[in-house]
This record gives sequence, C-alpha cells and structure tokens, in this order.
Amino acid sequence: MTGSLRAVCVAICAAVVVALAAPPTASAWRFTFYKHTNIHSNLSFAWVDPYDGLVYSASWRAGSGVSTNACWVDHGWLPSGYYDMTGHVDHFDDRIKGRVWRLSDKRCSNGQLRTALFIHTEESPWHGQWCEPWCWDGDVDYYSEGCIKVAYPYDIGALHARYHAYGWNAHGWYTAPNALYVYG
Amino acid sequence: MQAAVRALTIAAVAATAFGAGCGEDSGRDAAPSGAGHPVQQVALPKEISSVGRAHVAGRVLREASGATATLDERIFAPLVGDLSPTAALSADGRSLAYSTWADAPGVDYRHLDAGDAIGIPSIRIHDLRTRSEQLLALGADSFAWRSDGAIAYVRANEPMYRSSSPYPGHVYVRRALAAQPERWSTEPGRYVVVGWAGSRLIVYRRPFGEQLDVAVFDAPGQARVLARDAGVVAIEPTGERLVVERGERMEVELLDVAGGARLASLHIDPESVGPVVYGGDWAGERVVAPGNGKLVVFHVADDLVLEHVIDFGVSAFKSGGISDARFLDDSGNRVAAIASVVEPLTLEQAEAGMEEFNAPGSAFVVTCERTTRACRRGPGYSPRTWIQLLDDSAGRRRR
Repeated sequence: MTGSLRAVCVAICAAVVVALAAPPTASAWRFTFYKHTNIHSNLSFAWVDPYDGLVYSASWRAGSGVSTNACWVDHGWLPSGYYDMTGHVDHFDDRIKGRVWRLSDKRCSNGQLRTALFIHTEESPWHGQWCEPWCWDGDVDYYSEGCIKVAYPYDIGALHARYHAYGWNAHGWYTAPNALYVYG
Repeated sequence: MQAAVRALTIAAVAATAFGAGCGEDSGRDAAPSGAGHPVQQVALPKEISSVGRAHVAGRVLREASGATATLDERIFAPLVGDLSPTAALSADGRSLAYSTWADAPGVDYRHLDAGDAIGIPSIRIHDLRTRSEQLLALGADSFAWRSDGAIAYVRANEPMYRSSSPYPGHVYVRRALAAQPERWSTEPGRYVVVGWAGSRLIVYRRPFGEQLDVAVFDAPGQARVLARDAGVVAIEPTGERLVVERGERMEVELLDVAGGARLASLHIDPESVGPVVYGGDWAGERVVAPGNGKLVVFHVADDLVLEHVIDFGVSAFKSGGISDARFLDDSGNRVAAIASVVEPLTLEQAEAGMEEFNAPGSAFVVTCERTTRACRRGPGYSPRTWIQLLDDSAGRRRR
C-alpha cells in the first residue's frame, strides 16, 4: 500500500543518530531522503522526543526527478548532500500547490546549481484535487522535475502532521539549517 | 486546427509504461536486446583512446586534432547547464564564445539560503587566431551564434545571482561582436537562449523554478510559446522543425517552428528507453538525444521513429550520466557525448558533511558508431571539471 506510514522507530538506530548528530548546526529534527529509484525512494522524518530523549522516525515512499543524473536541470533527482529548509507554506499557489517545504539550492557533481526545490505532492492550494495536473493519479506522480514528491492524501498528511508536531510549527519563509540530508 | 498528429507507440512497451515494479532497476535489464530491437546493451569503454571530438574542459580547448588552446577563464555555467551550449564556435570558425562564472566573495555552497549572493555569470569571446579575449556581457549566461555572425544572449538586470531569486533579464542580439546589442524581449524574465532556427530564435522561459517553456522569437519583440513543460532535444539545421521532450510525460514531439503545429509525437517507454532529455543534435534525418545512461537516436522524416538506443546501463554511471550528445558526421552515424561517473554517497559520509560535488568519480568524452555500437572514450577529468563538446552548429547551418 503506497503512502502508508512505514515505521515508527523507537529504537535509536545508528543511521538516525548519524543524521541528527552531524553537522553541528543541525536541529533536533531532520528529513532524510534515500535515493533508490526516481519513483521508489524513501523520505524519512526523524525527531528527538523532548520528554524521553529518544529518537523517533517515520518514513514514506517518495520520488524525485525522472532521471538519476542529478545535473539535469528540470529532470534529474536531487544532488546528494545537506539542504537547508528555507520555508514551509500550507497553501502555496504557483505551478506547484498546497503543502510545500522549500529547500535551498544545491550543487551537483560538476557544480551545476539545482534551484527552486521543494517537498510537495499533487494537490490544490487548499489540499483538494484539481485534475489535471494537481491531482494524484498513482505511481506516475512520483516523477518530478527534481522536487521530492510524496503521495496524496495520506503520506502528505502524515508528513505535515509530524512536521508540525515534532519539527517546527511555523509557516512562511525561514531557514532551518541542515534540515534534509539526501544520499544514495 | 493543428496538423494531424501521428502518435506512435514503441512496440511492446505501452503496456508496461509505469507498470508494476515501481521503477525497480530490473525493468531495464528485462528489455529485449536481440537483433533488430532498438535497445542494445553496450559496455562503457574502459581503455582510453583518441575520441576525435573537439571539447572544452575547464580552461583548455582540446581540438579534434589533439591541439590545445588555453582560455583566460574556465568554462562554467551553473545556472544553465546543458540547457544551452557553454562553448560554441562562430560560423566562420574564428571566434569561440564561452560561459564562465565568478563566485561571490565568501560564498558557502553548502548553505545557499534565499537571497545569498552566489556569483556572477559572464560570456567571453576567445579569438582563435590571435588568442586574445574580450568580455561580451557581464551577468549573462546563455548564448547562440547565428550563421551570419550575429550572437544572441541573455543578460540579467542585475549581474549578481542570488540564491532562490528569479534572476530576471532580457534577450539581446548583436548583429556582430562590435555592434550594439538590440533587445528582443519586451518583458523581463528568466530566459535561456537555446539556438537559432534560421532567423528565429529559440529560447526557454522559466516561469517557475526549473520548469521550462519553449518559446520562439520571430523578430525583436515578437515572441510566442511553442511548448510548455518541454525541453529542446534538437533544432533542425534548416530551422524549420525542432524536436522537444516532455519529461515526466515520457514523450518526444516534432514541432513546426513557423506555425507551432505538432507534426508527430512518440511515447517513450520509461522502463526500457526513457527518459529522453534536452541537449541533443540533428544531422540529416537523424536526431540524437541523451538518455538515462543511454544515447537515443531517432529517425525523423514525416514521423518520429526510435531507431537506435545505445544503452550503457544507468548503473555504470552511479549518480552521473550522459549529457551533451552530438553527431560527428553529417550522416548521423558517429555520436559523441559527455559521460560522468559519480560515486553515490552513503549515509556514513554524512558525518563528514560530504555532498555530491565532493563525490569521487570521473568525466570523459565518449564516442560511438551508431550502426556497429563500437565506442571509445577519451581521458578522464575530475567530475568537478565542466566539460562541453564544442558546438559548431552555426557553421553547419551555413553549409
């Protein structure tokens, strides 16, 4: 079942500890995106619980790009490395819409800059479905121009809820350093 | 009403499009590779030999003969990439135009936050006879020579590129290098010059983020959109038609430049072939495009027909790939491209703060004969070295 919450991890697994420990400017929460294929990768959200001090995480299937060449503007998946989050908006209304998290620009292997990158889904500004193109049709919608995409409605909803519960409960344009690590 | 559209689907692939398997790599391996099937598996060559294709790597122009020339600055176009050639010869073969870049003081590429000053692109002209250079435009980041010696380029309103900024500018054309620039665009925008189609100028407009709309200027101040959400694979040397790709839709289309009609379209199977990407070439009745670890050749007459796919295997490139595909002859048999092999990063490398730009690997020129699938590779460069096959299309259009 696409879109279901894959795991809520109570164990302090080494990978998550690494992700939250480095680099030193990291927050107490972080997204991690593991690149497997363009339409079947993994987006995780990990956070340190303020009450018990344990690290929890949740993960969802996600996609990025139509190609594994990160230097292809508009086509390649995200280059690996840390990204700052530069804002979160609930009702974004441009060529992508709805709940979005904006990411900082990032270089690929030859220095090409990838820009205007987001985590988002296919939905209307008010979280409904406008067909086409702002509706979720299935696996094909994991393809993107480079942005990280998760399924509508359950995965984007769960991601959004956890971000506000355990990440930052803020909207607008702000900077969260090293909020996402992309690897693979 | 537009002209009739011939929608062709590659045999035996439509049923598998976006099908089960959810993008697992094994889908590619399952593609038929027998005689007559367009997809042929070819090993990425390991031994280094002469590739006979002029290219620029960093500051060095390496001609097909092996002779070299040194530029004043390194070629580098981080805002344009493969959307537009970054090193191109004028039609008379005397002048080399190239893109370069100056970092903003203190820029930290690991943290590029909105509004941060990152750098200034510029276009320079290298005279291959005198070895002298001049600055064509500051804050400029894409260009194209016309066959009569005119040059089109985009210049931003403010030279400094700031992270996540729209970076608006205008399209200018100089009838000659020494002539005053004439502004062709009426509204400022994020433009990228792609190339000339006869007297018409093909550009991208980037309305949002990395999204690409293909537009054409019929004359100064007269622009129209040819295709939304599309990338230009190649412009016909006569300037009459162009082939575009549709990214996520896994389609290529043949468009009439003058009228804008869609003349033909072709669905690309995402598993065995797709995607096909911008930055290809057109010779005679053939078009070559970079693919995901592939070189994809189409026969173009009244229709678009997938003819050959030289498939190196996407796994051979790790996180890199094929780009900048060009024909080496007018018959469209020999093909050259840039190959980059970049090691993927592990989670453990996060501890060191590594990013893709620091990943080990190499980049090199690869050439192949389309009919025999015999391929050769040139010497390797650091993957951080910007490499561009020399664009000589202005001279070819004149012939």
